[in-house]
Amino acid sequence: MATEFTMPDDMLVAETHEYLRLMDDDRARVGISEFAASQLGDVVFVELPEIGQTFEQGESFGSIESVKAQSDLYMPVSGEVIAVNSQLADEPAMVNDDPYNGGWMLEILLPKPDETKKLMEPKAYLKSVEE
Amino acid sequence: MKIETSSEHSAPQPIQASGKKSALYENHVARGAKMVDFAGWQMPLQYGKVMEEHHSVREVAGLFDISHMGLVTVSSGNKDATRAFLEWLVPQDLSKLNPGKAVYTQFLNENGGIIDDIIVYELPELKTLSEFQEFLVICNAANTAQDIAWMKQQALKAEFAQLDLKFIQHEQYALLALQGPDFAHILARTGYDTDYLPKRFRIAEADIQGTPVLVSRTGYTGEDGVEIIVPAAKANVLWDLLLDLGRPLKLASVGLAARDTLRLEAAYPLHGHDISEADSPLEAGLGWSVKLEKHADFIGKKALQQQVIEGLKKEFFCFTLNKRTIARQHDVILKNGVPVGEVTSGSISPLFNVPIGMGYIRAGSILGPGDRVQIQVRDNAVDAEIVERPFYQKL
Repeated sequence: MATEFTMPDDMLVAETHEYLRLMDDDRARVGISEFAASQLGDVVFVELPEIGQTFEQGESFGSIESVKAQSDLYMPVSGEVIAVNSQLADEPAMVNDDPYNGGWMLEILLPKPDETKKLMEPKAYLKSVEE
Repeated sequence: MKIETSSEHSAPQPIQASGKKSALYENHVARGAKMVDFAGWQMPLQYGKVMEEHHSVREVAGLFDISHMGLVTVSSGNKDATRAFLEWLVPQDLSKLNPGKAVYTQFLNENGGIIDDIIVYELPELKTLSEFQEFLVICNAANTAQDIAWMKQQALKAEFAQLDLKFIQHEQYALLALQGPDFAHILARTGYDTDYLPKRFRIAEADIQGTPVLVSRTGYTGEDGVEIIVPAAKANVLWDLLLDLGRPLKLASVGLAARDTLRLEAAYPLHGHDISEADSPLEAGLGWSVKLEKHADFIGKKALQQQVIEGLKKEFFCFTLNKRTIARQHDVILKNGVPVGEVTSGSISPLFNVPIGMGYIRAGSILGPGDRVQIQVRDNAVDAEIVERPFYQKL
């Protein structure tokens, strides 16, 4: 039954399972890990913020709901929302099917790149969830 | 995100090593099912995606393992005496049954509260599977032991004490459900002569490629279909046969998660959620299955008559949400800011792609379909619209 969860190497991830994928020095995409999506089960709704909103690291930026559970989503770092994945409104299951590409949630500007020091490397994260 | 588990029955629990396993357990695991503890049984929650399994049942057909449900025969060697005993236990009129006919009903307590909801079959004379004698009760997995204890307790009553009542739980049988518009085509591919399919709410014996089975034209999905009682030793053969023959038609194996969204669209109550000993069948909107006028007395009759005289204190209703979120069991229902009820079941309707749910509300607090209430979903009071029951009706 043991499922091997994956995560691309070019990501960092928060203890609360949101990943950060740097696009360049001050721009990144946010989503949730394959493990988190699997724990939720079939995602049916994803509630995302408006473009232009800013959030602190650890602040809730939206919520995600599956057939079996609801969960708040937290910012892995502080940032301003510059894009949201509007496709998730019609295809929320993308979060399960392709969490790291089609299932991305936010694109943000990072005013405090230092905050990434609080995040985990994929290997350490995967080890922590497999325990 | 914080990974929370909800109180919904579909939330996976750690598999208990002591959990009961259906005869198909290994088969489900081999097919990649996510297994879940349900009423002490290890059952498939889903094989793939819940939404796709749901749509398969509405559009083609789905195959379910529901072996966790209790199969209990009640017999005494005198069918009329057994019938009289069961008449005392349920509010349905069992004098209307005939060999092969089934009815939906409930076991009620003295207060009219629902101990369990069940289907009672008057069995026909069987050439095979002859351990199924007189009457069959199919009950909810979580309640089976309690139902048997309840029947045995009632059998001690003076008027039944002279009967040789036997309550036999048939644990050596599996129960499969084949549900959806193409169910008969799939059955026909096994060689089953569908001219002899039992009509709705009837049961008949049959032979599927050498395996003796009982086929009941019942289900819990809102679709036409059958439930098949099969010897546990033959369950895997039948399961694989149906899936193989159904594959060209896109038959899907379906788990408990989609079974829940299917029954919710059909607004069928789930015991332990929508109905319990705190609810009467009248309050639950199941009055159509209560025959207060029937000749025989039954447990809970006085309480139900009292409810009719005094009027119901609460009503069961269906709603849709105007926001894309899910109202879940125990969420509070508000009218003009005042709590007037509680949600008992809620999910997304895969068919209509809107959030739906059901619950109880204080009688008189809503006007009926079209009226609006609010439901407290976590921090938000979400607008909800009262709609006709059920959400989906085909049968």
